[in-house]
Amino acid sequence: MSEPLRVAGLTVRYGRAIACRDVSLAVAPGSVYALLGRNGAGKSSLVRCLLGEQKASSGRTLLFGADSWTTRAAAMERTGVVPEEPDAPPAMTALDLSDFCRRIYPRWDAAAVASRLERFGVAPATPFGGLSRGQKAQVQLALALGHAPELLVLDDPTLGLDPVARRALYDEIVGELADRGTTIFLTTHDLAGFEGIATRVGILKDGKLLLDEEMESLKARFRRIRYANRLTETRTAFGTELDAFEAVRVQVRGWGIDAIVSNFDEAAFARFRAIDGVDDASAEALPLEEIFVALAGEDKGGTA
Amino acid sequence: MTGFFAIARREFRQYRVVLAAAAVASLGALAAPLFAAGPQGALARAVTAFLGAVVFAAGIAVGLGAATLAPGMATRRIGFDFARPLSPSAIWWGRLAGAMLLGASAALVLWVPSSMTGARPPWNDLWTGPKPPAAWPLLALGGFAVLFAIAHCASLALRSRSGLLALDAALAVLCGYLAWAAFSRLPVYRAEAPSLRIAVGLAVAAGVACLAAGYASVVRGRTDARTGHRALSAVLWTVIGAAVLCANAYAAWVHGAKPEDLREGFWVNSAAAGPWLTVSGPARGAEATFVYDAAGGRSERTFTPDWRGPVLSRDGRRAAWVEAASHGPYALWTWRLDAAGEKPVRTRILLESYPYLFVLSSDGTRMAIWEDGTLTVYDLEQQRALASARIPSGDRQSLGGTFSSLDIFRVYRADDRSIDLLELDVRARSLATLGRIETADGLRFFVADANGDRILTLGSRTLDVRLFAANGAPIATLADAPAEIRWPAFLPDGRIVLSERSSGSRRLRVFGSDGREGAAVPLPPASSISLGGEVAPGVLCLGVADAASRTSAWLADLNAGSVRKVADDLRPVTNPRAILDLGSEATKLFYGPRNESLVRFDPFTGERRVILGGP
Amino acid sequence: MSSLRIDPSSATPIWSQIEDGVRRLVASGALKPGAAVPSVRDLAKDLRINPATVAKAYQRLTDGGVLTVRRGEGTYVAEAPPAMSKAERARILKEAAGRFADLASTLGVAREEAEDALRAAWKKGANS
Repeated sequence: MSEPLRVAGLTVRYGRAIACRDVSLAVAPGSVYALLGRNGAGKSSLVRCLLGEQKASSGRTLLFGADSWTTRAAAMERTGVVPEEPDAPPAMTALDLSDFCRRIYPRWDAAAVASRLERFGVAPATPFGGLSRGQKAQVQLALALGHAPELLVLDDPTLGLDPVARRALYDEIVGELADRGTTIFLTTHDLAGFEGIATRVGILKDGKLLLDEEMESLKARFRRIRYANRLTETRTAFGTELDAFEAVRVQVRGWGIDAIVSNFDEAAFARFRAIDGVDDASAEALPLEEIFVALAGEDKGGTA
Repeated sequence: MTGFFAIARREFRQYRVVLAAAAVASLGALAAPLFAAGPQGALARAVTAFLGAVVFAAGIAVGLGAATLAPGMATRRIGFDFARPLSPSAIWWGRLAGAMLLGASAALVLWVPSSMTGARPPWNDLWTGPKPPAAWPLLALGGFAVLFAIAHCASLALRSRSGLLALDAALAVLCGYLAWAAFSRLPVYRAEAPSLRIAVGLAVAAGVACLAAGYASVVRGRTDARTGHRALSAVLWTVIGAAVLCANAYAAWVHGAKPEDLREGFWVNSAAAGPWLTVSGPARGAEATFVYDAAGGRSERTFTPDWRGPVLSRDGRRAAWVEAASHGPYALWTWRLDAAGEKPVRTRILLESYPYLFVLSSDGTRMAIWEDGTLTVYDLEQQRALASARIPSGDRQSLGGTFSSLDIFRVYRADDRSIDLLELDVRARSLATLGRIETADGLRFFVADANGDRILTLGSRTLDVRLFAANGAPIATLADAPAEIRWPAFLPDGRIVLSERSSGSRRLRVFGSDGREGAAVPLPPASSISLGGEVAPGVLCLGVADAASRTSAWLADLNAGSVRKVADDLRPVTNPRAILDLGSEATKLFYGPRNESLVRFDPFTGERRVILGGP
Repeated sequence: MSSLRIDPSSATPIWSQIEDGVRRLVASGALKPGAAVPSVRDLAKDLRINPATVAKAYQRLTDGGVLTVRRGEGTYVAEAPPAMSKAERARILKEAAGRFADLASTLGVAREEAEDALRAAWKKGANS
């Protein structure tokens, strides 16, 4: 098991409510896995179990092949964590924090941390509690990278960041990937921001992993197909011609049909266009955000 | 371990502003003599500095204990430490160590400047009671750790907003009740050592439980307060529950001591006739008193204060004693010893306070109780009072009493100048003063015979021995020549023996009941002589202790005027005021070597049987 | 290479977009032979994409002889970059032509008008 991160059949229950249902995924070394999901879909529970903060009701989460609940401290030597909420002790300055980390990690590059802080423009002698939200996130990122971790876990890292801070975050992450080939697991709502960076995507809906796929393959098979439907007025007719494409969401507009499909290929589309009664058909690729909304949004199957 | 030190250091640095406050308080202590001059000032400084140190340390323990982990767990801000390679041990014990360092530093900051000007820990001025042991700094550290743990547990339990808090409260009440039950199981009197053991044991268990529970809350709860609370409660109540159950088991064990558990240091009082006796001594950690059948082995434990233990009737067929009932007044218990299968009975006779004097009649059917200024004679069969009279005790002490007959009870009380001889007539229900004996020269010893017809006194200044009649009329002065040691006793048939050492020689003098001197028996040289019972007509048992305090058993033949040793390592069981029946079982009871056993020894056949204790 | 744009939403894999983009720039002369191209790190940062993706594109371009790596110095356009293969050219052209034809038909434009527009654009492009 050379995967830095793996989730196997994870189920998390809080009393009778189920936060995660039998979730399984794996993150290959050097890849960037983006876990998407609406609020309340179960991402936080998964991340907590992943970081050994919480015990799963059933199933396991593994860091570097070992159970994260039982071997958390050892796994954290090789893992950097940037939490959603900044949680460093508010009274400590960034320098204090770096000094503290220096004592507890086997390797600590204090110079790299200092230079990152300078690059972010964070005053090293200000108490953590006195920093702005963005600066706090940057400090936590700097601390997470100080021991050159093999795995980086980021929980909604762009939450509350202004565009400048966000840009700086992307730069750091890309830099880490380029310099060290760090494996990255992140949860995010900033789909556009990470669309180019993530190599694999998972979508969590109501605790279930709806989708777990390479970004390239996902992009390749999703399209938005728009056409004017002159077949019939009735619903069943349009349903048939789109069947091959496994439509995820279909909307009937005044000018025609607007469908998001998940099983697109060129040959089938050519046949589709040739159908008599299908006019002005076009297919365009979708940004990740649209794919996500279509999959994780409220079920709107077909409309009459 | 690096994580442990890193966290301890971090905690210390984070809260070090407390040391500044301690420094200010320390100045306040140093300035105390400005407000009070002289030794009062020095004391004020010592007390201020000492109490200040204690208050700061305790405040830090509680403050940090409550604030350092629980709030973070409740608001999920503790993730920082858990996202780092820090073990739960480092996270918990590291914080405790940091807090301890801070508390100790604050205490030193407060205490050291004052102690450098001569202040000493004011133990005596702060509380009465035993001084703290030399290892008190260790105890203080332990106490700090426990305070810290308690504060953390309480804080977490409250902040977790879990319904478990109600269960915690219920279990706390239950354990409190069980702890109280353990203490109440212990004998009410003279069980200090077991009480202390239970108290210390429970305190230590509670402390350990809190520390373990705090640790468990971190290991299992991690960043979740509810899970932490659950782990905390599980460990806490398991440990405390186990401790409390052990305490109850221990208390029950102490309570259930048997005469066979007596090992040494016990002493015995026999009935005048028959095999029954009362025996007291340490058993299973507490002082135990039993009414015991030396022949058959039956016994019952009585829970009475020390010397005011059970009394046996002269015929050895009935025992009576007073115990505190669970709700206040003292109850009189009786026991028919001659009927196999009979259990002690709690009579309806209740007393407000512990009686000053209680005496059984010879056959055990009646009891005289002098309590709170009133002397009452009860019929034990019918459990009712027959007659009573007011005898305020005042500053006069009781010298005892005896039933002259079933209807006549004679009681004696004395101050340092005279002895009052009183008599309560049950049928007439009247109290009469029979007479008075002047004791202006001091009274060392007083004894009346079985019926109260004859009275012996031993003066304290001149060791004179005088014989009186029941009404105090002097019959004879048995001895008044100067002597080094003198001791009188009645024999069952009314004769009197006097053990005496004068001019270096020891002898036993015998007198008739009219005071006329009979034979004298020379005694071997000894450091002390104790008088036992009359084991055969005219043959008296003696305990003879040599210069090295080794006691041997001797027989004194009063008719032949000779003595002989019968056992090297035994000493007769004696009670100065008891008059044992001639040849009764009680006359054959001896203490074994070093008072470690009770032995039945027939001085004529040499046969021995160890009854209790023994090698 | 500031004109290199990638569209993360596109159905075409990003590495492919980069590869095509670089080839186009080289073929059009915007990137001269021997010119330096941004490092993997820098390009990835600029485009906000995974460096592995850039690395893959660069690897394919290097294998295809369009770029060369000079050890210790960086990546450069090859001295003699191969012209785009005929098949490659044809594919790209066909894709673009297809898009143009779709657009024209959506607008309801007749073939002649479309051809006129194409000729005008060609003239313009040839002059730049």
